[in-house]
Amino acid sequence: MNPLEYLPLTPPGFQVLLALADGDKHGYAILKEVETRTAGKVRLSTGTLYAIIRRLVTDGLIEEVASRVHDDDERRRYYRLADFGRKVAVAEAERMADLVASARHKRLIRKPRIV
Amino acid sequence: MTRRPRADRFYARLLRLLPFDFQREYGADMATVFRDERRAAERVGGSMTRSKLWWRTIVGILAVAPREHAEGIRRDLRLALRSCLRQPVTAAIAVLTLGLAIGATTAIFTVVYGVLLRPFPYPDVHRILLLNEVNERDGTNLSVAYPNFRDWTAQATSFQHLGIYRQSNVNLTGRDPAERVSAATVSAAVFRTMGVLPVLGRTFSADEDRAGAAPAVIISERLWQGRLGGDSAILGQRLLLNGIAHTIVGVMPAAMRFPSRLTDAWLPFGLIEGQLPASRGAHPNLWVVGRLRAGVSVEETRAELDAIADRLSATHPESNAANGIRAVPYVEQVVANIRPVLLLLFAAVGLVLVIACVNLTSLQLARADARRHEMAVRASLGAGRGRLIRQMLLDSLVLSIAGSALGLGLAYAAVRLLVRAARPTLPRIDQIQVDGAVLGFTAAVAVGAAIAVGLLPALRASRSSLQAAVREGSKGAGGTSRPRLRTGLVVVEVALAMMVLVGAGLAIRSAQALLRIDAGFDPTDVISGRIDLPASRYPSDDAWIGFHVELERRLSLLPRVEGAGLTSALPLGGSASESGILPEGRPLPGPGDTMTGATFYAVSPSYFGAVGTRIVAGRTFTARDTAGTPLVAVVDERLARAFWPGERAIGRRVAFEMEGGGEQGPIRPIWREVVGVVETVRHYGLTVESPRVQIYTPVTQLALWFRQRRPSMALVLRTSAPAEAVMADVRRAVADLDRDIPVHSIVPVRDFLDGQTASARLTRSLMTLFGALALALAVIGVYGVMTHAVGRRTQEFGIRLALGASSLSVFSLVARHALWLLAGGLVLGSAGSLALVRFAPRVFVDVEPADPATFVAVAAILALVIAVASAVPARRAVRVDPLAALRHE
Repeated sequence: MNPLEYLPLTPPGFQVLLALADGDKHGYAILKEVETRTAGKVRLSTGTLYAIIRRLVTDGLIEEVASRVHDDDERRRYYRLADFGRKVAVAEAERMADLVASARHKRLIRKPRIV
Repeated sequence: MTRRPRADRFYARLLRLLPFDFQREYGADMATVFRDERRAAERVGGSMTRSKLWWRTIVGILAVAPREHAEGIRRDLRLALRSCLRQPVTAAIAVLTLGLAIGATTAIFTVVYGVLLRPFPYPDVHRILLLNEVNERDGTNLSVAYPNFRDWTAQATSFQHLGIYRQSNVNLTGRDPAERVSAATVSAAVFRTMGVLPVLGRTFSADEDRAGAAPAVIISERLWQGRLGGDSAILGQRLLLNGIAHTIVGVMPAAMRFPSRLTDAWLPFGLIEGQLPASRGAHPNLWVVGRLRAGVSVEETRAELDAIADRLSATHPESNAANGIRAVPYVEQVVANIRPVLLLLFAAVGLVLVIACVNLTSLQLARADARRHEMAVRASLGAGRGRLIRQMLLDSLVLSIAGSALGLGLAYAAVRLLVRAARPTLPRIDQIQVDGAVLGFTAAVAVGAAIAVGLLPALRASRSSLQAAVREGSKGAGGTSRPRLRTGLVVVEVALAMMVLVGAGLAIRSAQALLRIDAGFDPTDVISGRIDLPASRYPSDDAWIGFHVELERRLSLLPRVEGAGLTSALPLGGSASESGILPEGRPLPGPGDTMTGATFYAVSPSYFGAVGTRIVAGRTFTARDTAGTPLVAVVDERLARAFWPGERAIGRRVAFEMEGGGEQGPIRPIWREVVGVVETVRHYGLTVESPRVQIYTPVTQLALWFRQRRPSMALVLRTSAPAEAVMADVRRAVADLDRDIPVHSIVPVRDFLDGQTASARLTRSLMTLFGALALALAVIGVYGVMTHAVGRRTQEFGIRLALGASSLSVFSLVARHALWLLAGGLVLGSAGSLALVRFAPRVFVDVEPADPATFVAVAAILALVIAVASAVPARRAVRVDPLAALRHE
């Protein structure tokens, strides 16, 4: 499978992959991570989130991990970024980096932002 | 367990918008996540935060749900397509079956829609009535006496407008070549009644209804754009009609197709108003059309007209004693004859469609049985019942969409063929086309067929799923399916096929009866045409008669013409002049006495020979019968039988006209001596047996009536040469006599006859086609169910044979099953047919609707066909190898 076939990702889809990049998470954790990381600029709804999850699972970009017991004793489903999903996410990030580089070259943005 | 907060319950309800398997997969998780979000929002507090959460959540679900549903359907469609392609032959048969049935149904619907349902171009067309007088003694229609019309107008309150018109044809000259134009002389109210506005100029005014009106003409858009070249300055120009200059005052749009769709010129009523007979006994070919006031019903109007007719009968008994007023909605008049035929065809084709659907249902049931295992596995893997039903329905939808596409193509071709075949008989034929309404119909049929075909198998497959099928394992194929359902379906199919076949049988018998009718002439190799001598050019009787005598002489001399004659009314032409008739020796009738009705004609000496009407006794006219010799006549056999039964008619005298009266002395009959008897000719139509006897007068001794109202004469030529070649000679012969007289309405007389049988022959062909389709489908159904049944009982047969049963006894088991199908089908089918043929008398001529011969023949055909369809499975049953069958166990 060629990761490039999956590009470009939808922005929310990419956000979910990013959220899983540093560890397995359950649904609510993904929502929170996206919200915090984007300083509240991106908020996914449950419907959107699970439609994305279904799609990503079907395509093999993420996978469900054996459920663990959460703090409050409820069973939750955890998801992990699959190896293939990681490749796709990297490809997407590079695609975006190239785009940003082009924009900079055209002086749309002045200089790299330093975080 | 504690109750969940209301918000969470609402969210759970919201989740139901999602596809079922989506809910099952993620629903619980989503609810948990939502609960966490809600709690977080409540912790942070602020109604703003909470409303934002709700907004985001609801919009999210609403956006995701349709996408997910569509995705699921796409997936199932792919599955359905794949499952069809796995059994390409079965799928092809299914698509072909449906395609034929849907194609036929769509084609007939297209005709039904165009002729019966498509709106007319007149506003509130249901308020338009056609009116005429009717002789209440024999029910014959009469045109309207002008004084009566004036009384109707004065007395009737039901009508908003009441117009009077006469259809005629006029010679258009002054622009070569001379041409015959279909015209109508109409009162101003006719346009208002129809409610059509001119595209150019004006309609007539009430002043133009009265004698003395200036010669004006309103032309059709067709004449304007065609012959007159679409000249934008056409208004005010003059047209030479019958030699008189008429000023063009208006142009009517194509939507105005009244009195006929061929009408190209409308003339003001004032041009003839002054010449109309003042007598109420004269019915000078005037007809009436009226627009009802809003809210007035046809029944109320008829009651009012009856009262008016009664009053006129009382005040004018000598002319109106027996006359009533007939009022028929315009729409009825246009489609009345054709409606039962079309409805019969539509019913037949609908039955064929139902048979096709039943067949496919049976097929899908078999497939569903074969797929029970698959379904069960899918169900156990978590596919919901709704999902399984959807899957099966999509399966049949795929078939029916493919079938409809095929059907639509077939229908498109079939409609063009149909229109060509039905041109002479079908009203509103130009309204027939495959358009949005037809496409909508086909789409509805496709979906309907998909549901009809798929629902039963879907329900069965999904219901029986889990336990049964899994337990049964992969043995699956039809193991536990009850064949009773499929047998029942096939019985229904046989019954429906019988109904269609009975209809086809009746159509065949009826057409045969029609074609056997002896119309009293021989249409083979006879061509006819018409000429009209305008009174303005031939004012005297001598000039008029001289023209026709000379014309007959010249026509007879034309090469390749074996006989030529002239007549005032062609056989089957639908018109004739009518009068009472009296044999010499009987007292003159007084007022109110009824006389024998007669139709009379003016013919030339060679006419009977040319048209092939047999002379039974005496002679035809000769050149020696002239204006100066005693008046003679030729009568038909029925007249001779009616007046002088068993006696010689030749030499007797009859009178159908009177002269004198008033200042001219006492009323005297105009006696004519009978010199010949000919066979009776059907003038009004092939199936119309007019109660009137027939009398012919020589052109040289014109009847009084014809001297006052010169008839348009028809030429009749007997020739085996092609019509075009001969007619060129005929045109030249006429032009040599008078170059301003066009020969028009040139038709092989055969076409008259064919025109009258066309509807019956078309009905016969279509019904035969539908019958064959129904039969073929029924055979497939019978074969399928018999094969299935034998397959199921293979082991049983094997055991029986192993235990020593004879092949004959096994054969009889199968035969018994087939007999049940036949018997059930025949009983149901006979009942259905009897119910259906109650509508038949209006479609079929000369055939008893419950015609025993037809029923017996149809039953025999079905028996034969079912026997053939069962023979193969029966053979297989007899040849079961007991050992093989038992090993299978």
